[in-house]
Amino acid sequence: MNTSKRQLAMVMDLNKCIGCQTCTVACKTLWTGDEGMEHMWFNTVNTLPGKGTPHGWEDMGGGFDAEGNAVVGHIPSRKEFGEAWKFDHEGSYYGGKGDASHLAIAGEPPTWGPNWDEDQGEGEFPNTHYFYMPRICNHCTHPACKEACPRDAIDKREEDGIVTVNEDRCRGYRFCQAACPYKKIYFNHQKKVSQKCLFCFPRIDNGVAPACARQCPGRVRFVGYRDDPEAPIWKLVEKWKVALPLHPEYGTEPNVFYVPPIGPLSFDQDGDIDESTPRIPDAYLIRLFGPSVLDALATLKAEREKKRATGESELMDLLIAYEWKDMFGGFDTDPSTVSVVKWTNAS
Amino acid sequence: MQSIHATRRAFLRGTAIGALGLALDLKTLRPVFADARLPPEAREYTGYRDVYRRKWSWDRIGVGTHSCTNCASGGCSWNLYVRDGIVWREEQGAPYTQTNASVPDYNPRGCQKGASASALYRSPARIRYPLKRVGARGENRWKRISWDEAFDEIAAQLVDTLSTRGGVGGYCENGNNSDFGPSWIAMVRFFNQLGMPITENFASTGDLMTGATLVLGNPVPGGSSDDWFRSDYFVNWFGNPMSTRIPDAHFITEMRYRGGKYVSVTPDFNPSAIHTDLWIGVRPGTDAALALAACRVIIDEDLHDVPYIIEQTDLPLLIREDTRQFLRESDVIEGGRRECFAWWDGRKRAVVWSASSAQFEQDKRTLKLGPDDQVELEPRNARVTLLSGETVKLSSAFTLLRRNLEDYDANSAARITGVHANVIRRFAREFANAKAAKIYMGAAAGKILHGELVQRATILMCALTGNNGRVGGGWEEMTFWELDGKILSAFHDFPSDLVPGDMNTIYPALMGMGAQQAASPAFISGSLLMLLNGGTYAEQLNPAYNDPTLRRTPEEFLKEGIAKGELHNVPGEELGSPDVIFNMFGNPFRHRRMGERLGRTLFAKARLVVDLTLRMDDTARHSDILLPTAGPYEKLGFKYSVSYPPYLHLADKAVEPLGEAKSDWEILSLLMQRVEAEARRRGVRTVKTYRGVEYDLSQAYWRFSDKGRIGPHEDEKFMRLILALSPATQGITMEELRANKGVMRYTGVSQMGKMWCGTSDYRPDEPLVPYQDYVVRKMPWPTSTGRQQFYVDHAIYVEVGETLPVHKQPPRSGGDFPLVMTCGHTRWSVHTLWRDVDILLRLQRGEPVIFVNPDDAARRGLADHDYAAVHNDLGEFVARVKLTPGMQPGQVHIFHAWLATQHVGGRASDAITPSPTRVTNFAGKHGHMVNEVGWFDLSGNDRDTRVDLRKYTA
Repeated sequence: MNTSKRQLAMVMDLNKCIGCQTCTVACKTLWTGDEGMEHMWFNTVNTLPGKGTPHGWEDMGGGFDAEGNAVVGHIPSRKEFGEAWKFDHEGSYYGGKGDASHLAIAGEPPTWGPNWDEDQGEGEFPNTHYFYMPRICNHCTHPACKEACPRDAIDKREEDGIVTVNEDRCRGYRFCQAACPYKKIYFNHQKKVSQKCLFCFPRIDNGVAPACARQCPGRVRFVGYRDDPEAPIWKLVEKWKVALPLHPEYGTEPNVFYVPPIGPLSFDQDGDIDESTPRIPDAYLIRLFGPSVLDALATLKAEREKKRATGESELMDLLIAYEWKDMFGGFDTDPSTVSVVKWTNAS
Repeated sequence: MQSIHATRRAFLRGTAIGALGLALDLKTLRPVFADARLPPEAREYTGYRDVYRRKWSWDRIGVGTHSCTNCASGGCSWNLYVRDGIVWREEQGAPYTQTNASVPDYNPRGCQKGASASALYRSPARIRYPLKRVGARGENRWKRISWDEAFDEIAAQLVDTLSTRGGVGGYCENGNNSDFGPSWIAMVRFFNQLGMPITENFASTGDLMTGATLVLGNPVPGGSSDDWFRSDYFVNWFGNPMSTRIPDAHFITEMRYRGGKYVSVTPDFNPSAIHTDLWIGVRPGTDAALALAACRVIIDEDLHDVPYIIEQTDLPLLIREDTRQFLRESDVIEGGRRECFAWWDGRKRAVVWSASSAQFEQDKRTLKLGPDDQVELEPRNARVTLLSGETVKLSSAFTLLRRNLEDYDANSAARITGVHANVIRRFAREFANAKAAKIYMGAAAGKILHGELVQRATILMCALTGNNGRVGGGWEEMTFWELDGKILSAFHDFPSDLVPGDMNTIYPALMGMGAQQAASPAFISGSLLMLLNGGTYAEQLNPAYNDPTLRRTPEEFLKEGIAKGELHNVPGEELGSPDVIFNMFGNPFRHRRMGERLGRTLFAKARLVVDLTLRMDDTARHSDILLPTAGPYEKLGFKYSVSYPPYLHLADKAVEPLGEAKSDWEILSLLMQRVEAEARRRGVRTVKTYRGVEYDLSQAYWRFSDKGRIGPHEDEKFMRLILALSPATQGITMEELRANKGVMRYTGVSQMGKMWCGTSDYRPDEPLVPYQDYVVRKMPWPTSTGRQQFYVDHAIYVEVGETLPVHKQPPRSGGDFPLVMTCGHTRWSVHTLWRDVDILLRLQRGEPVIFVNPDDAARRGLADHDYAAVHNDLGEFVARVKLTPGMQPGQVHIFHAWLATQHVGGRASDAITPSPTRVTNFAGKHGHMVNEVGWFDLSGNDRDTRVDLRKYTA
């Protein structure tokens, strides 16, 4: 039931994500610096396995069941996302207390944050495992947030499927927060509106890839229309089937896809290499991406071996991205060449 | 499908109804624009989307990078989006073109620190005007003063000191946190012209790879990072490039997709382990045993490259069995050369003097063997008659190596390293059989006591397999794209007299600097200054924290080195009582182990401590006058030129300095004017430099400013001088740089000796591979033997059993405690910079954490996020516990460079790291092993520190 003529999408390659959070910061400095938005991170990166952002979001409901029925959802609290902690810089630098004062977090010590369980992972040494999972709004084809909104304040753009909160119409009922199974919607307690990732539509409208993608030094993210057979998104999702949506069972038909991680070799009880047991348990990856993840991993491994042996593989060449601009499905305009509307008198 | 209303009700069942009551009318944003003075191009508010369109807007775009950081990325291009006169946001410029079609391009570079640099430069920690201390040092009480007041007081103190004690009455603490441009030049020119020394901290921080100096004649070898992509077997050893080389990490993940294998050798399963094919969790500090066991497998299974070993290494050279020293020509021939070494010719049954030797006839020096040469790698019954008439037995270094490796069979090494013997064998075979195998050595290899041995052992793996000098292969740490013009602009008295591009004037000028440096103070060893005068003598020389197999105390080695004059430039006792200390580009309270002791020693003795600083930090807190320096967006500079990206990066001045901050060049220009004026006012003329050379203080500014030709606001002249005088930037102009987003590919390599990048010809359309001069052109390596030199016959090395690389058990540094505290660079900061930026702290836990294995924590009653007191003989510091099964049992890890002020109790981990002295660092005056800053110097270390943890309650 796609209401848009075309759909923009993103593919994130988890084998290239290094957890550096440049995407997170790029998004933060662009969109969520205003008062009321300090605690918001439209883009997050979490260490998996882990509880993520907000804490335990995978158990918070929302989305649809196999029959298409809405699933009860919890509205994540600010505490579950993590507050924007304030630090006493003034007191620490100029308070006159020397080493007796330190750069403390004001108020109650926090118990969670947007990247609280960074690099913790699971398993037992030496068979520890983890990887990084960047997340934005999935700009779903079947957006639960939109269906849930009594104000019709969630827009899905006809031309490219970008889902945005219409802040003019939003009255802060927060049905969308309950309905989104990915818990990627925040609430602005000052403006009393829901706010979330906008797929950088002002950039998209000027042919520029979203900040999280264009600024990614790991070259993790591909951008483009899903139906463009010449571009990487279609090839990775439809042709090679190595890019999969996160939790497809949530029923919202996400438009962000992930190339699953190939973990390192694991060790047996004696510390020798155990070729038969993957370090990242298959069951865990299946829980995240569904059973087809195993086929995707097999394809990746086979093509990697083919590239090694013959030097040829369309899939590997795509993922390598010899030319960075090719990752953006035509949204490769240099932002410094865009002439934006001037909103101030300053020069 | 249910109706939308039903869906909505279902979503909300069980959620807080109270949320509904929160709804308020969203105020239209129209009033913001309801101003009659709207610019003509501004539009009326048309809907919520305009709010976001407005956020992504700017008045103009500048180009820049973060030159004023010790970020070893080598540079990233940033567009600086300016609104209302401030940089509100930065985004990568991404102007890099592919080197050639066979490798990925360098775009977009950058990291989360770069992306939040404007937040750092506007942060509360930033110093906005000159400050003078009003409380006790470290108490954090300040008053604002004017620049005039600051300059008057500092100039008066400088003239007092210089006119009474001379240059020995003060010094400048120097970090590596400067640009490769006017800021660094300002510091060097200022203190050089005043005759006061500057500390050099390459070794003090543990970044100096003395093992690489010994073997390769280059402490930090490397090429460009797009060469990583061409590797078939990329080994990260000791490092964490996925966190610390964020802009270059993609070459590793993409190398995997090319079919190459990625292996990582680190004790913990760190962020650079997760994308490997094989991660080897070696016990902390046992890396040399792993490398030597791999060498044993390689040799035993005949996987070594014999022709390469014979041509390129010292392993065929002959060692006297009686003395364990190289056979030298001077042993055999009257008037023979000392730096002349021999191999055994199987046909002639005699020694042949190696034409690669450092003192071989200069015009005949080569690694190339003659057609009749028959070098025996393992001669039997080799003998020679000495001058004394005595006949001695000779063995090749290779024979001795084979004997040494008998101790490192895979099973023995497994017991030492905790790595299964089969894993060792597999690793060795895969490494040797790869078309191109590379060892990317992390800087931590300089930060354990026996790191020098790890370096030598791992370079040996590369040499045995012929990988050093191979495309996509070889051992590398990190090198520099040196800008000779920067060196000249700093050290040459009158750089404007040099003719740009005219190598006939530039080279003699560079050569002449050696002599000048002998007379001028220039750099002194920061690690020796700390050891001798910083209050750390007892801990650093404590035999209990050192190698237990030493037969003498470390202090005896130190005293012997000083007595023999083998140590370069020992900071004397007089410098231990400075009147004036300056600090620039660093935070010695943090970057020296036990650095806080400076507050009780050198700083306590100084009448005046001046810190030129961007922001408040541990050292600033213990200073007297803080002079606010301009941030990188606010002044001109070039980025510190690491070789990985072969591009020069311009940091242009995009905006005016924050508050009253000034560029380093302007500050020191104005201060030097005051010093000169004050000297004239008092009639002070002749004073002495640190080295006792007389000069005229009343002419100090004239000399500093290059005969008045480069004024306080003319720092761009230095930028142009650097471009014109550096072989690496010939043909590049400021205008072109500005037109190219501040980024241009280097056009050549530095010719400053056979170091840094200058070991290969450079082609702009090929990734840079080091050592082509030696491996392809057969020019001798810059070592005594002219080969990759694994054998070291200095008496200390013979005494301590390290003539060849061996494994030595890690010391009990800090006492006999059960846990090893490792440390490393974090993804979250560049040393202490960015450590206290709010938006980054919110992406961590906001406080210092120490990583602990869950079992180790449980045994101590510690849960996740508990405060722990981390303690040993030296004391304790406090951090939050973070549990992860990625930490090896028995290992705890603290990412470095938390500011002391971020810890409960005000102490950071460095306070309890005793940095024991490596006694071989006290050797010198032995061939290419010259004890000198930046080459072979006392290395700081901390990764062997033993600790225990207990629950901390305030």
